[in-house]
Amino acid sequence: MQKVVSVARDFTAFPSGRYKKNGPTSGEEFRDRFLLAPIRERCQIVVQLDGTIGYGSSFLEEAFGGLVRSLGPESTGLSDNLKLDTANEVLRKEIMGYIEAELRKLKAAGTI
Amino acid sequence: MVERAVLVQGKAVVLSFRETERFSSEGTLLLYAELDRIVTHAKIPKPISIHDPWRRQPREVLKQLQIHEITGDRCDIVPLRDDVVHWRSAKGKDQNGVPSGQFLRQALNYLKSQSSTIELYEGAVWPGLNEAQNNTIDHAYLFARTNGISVTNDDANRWSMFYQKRDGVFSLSVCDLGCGYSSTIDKTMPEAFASWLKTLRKSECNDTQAIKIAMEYGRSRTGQSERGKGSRNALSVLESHPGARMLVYSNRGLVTYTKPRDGSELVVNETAFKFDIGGTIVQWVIPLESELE
Repeated sequence: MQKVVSVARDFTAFPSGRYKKNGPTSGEEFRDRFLLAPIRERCQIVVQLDGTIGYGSSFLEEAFGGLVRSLGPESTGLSDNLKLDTANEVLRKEIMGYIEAELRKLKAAGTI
Repeated sequence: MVERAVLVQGKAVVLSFRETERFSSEGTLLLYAELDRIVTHAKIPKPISIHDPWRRQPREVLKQLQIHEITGDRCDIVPLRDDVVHWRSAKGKDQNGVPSGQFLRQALNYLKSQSSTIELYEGAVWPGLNEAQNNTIDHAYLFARTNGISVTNDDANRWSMFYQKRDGVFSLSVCDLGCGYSSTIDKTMPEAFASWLKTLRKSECNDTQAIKIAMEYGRSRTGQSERGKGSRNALSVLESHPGARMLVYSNRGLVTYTKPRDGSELVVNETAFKFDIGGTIVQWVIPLESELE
């Protein structure tokens, strides 16, 4: 099953901040509301990133790097199930960098 | 002085701007932030009253920036001057991106309405603005301000923003009245703290060194490796805007980063002030290409 989530349409046009305590448009809020459950259920999820005002690194790292930290051993197969839809290649690379950095940590720790 | 009178001594204060001739954007942003903080935390009714400038231009500035709405004073003037009507202000107390994002969109939509060839991209500006705003929540209010006055409640973590377009230049500023980079640097980037101590022997100003370290290291106070490109986000605005400058004021220090028009390396200048602004301002000054031609 495939789910599509548009950050701008379904969450906010103004993504901002890292943690929920920072406000309702944070990376942690987005991750917990839209990413965690589908990935755990092994659904394929397409995240449409375009249409927002832009992204700060705090938001992106917590949403996507934090996704790997939250999933832990369940992160295997994440790259098959998470698809990033954007015309901005720099943005895609930044996000993949956060995900891969966390996956490397899990591998180094023997978690996956 | 005003903050101490109102928040510590519980006295109402009258500020007279009768003889004021002009307001600078940075100074006015500080004034705006100070008034917002004092009025928000005051425990007395109408803690501050203002007497408007005699001159029309500075009076229009106060009206345009809604200073009277903060203090509860009345001013019936309608701003008309071209060097006033392009000022806008906003304030808030958390990292909810909606008010600041709408503020930035308002600024950019306004600029687009003025010219179709303006070289300004919200996708580049937002990360820097947003991370500067984040800093006000995550770091700026960890300790008391340099004047020793601390407020601790849900309204403590306040930020203010300004934008202005004048003489072919767009400037956007975000301000907090927190403790400044030099007070938190040992928490935010402990591995840089030792090298910072060494530089202090040669430096005239702790604050300029702390600003530079924050910009160069961009680490967070948790020390976690996955954290903290925030300050670099602020600086990266310049990469997509040749000719632009970023000015970072923190307490007694000012560091200016300039991106040369030929695309060469950033030029960094630092200044130590004799006075302490009691907070942090990050300001981007971006030339609008269409108006310089």
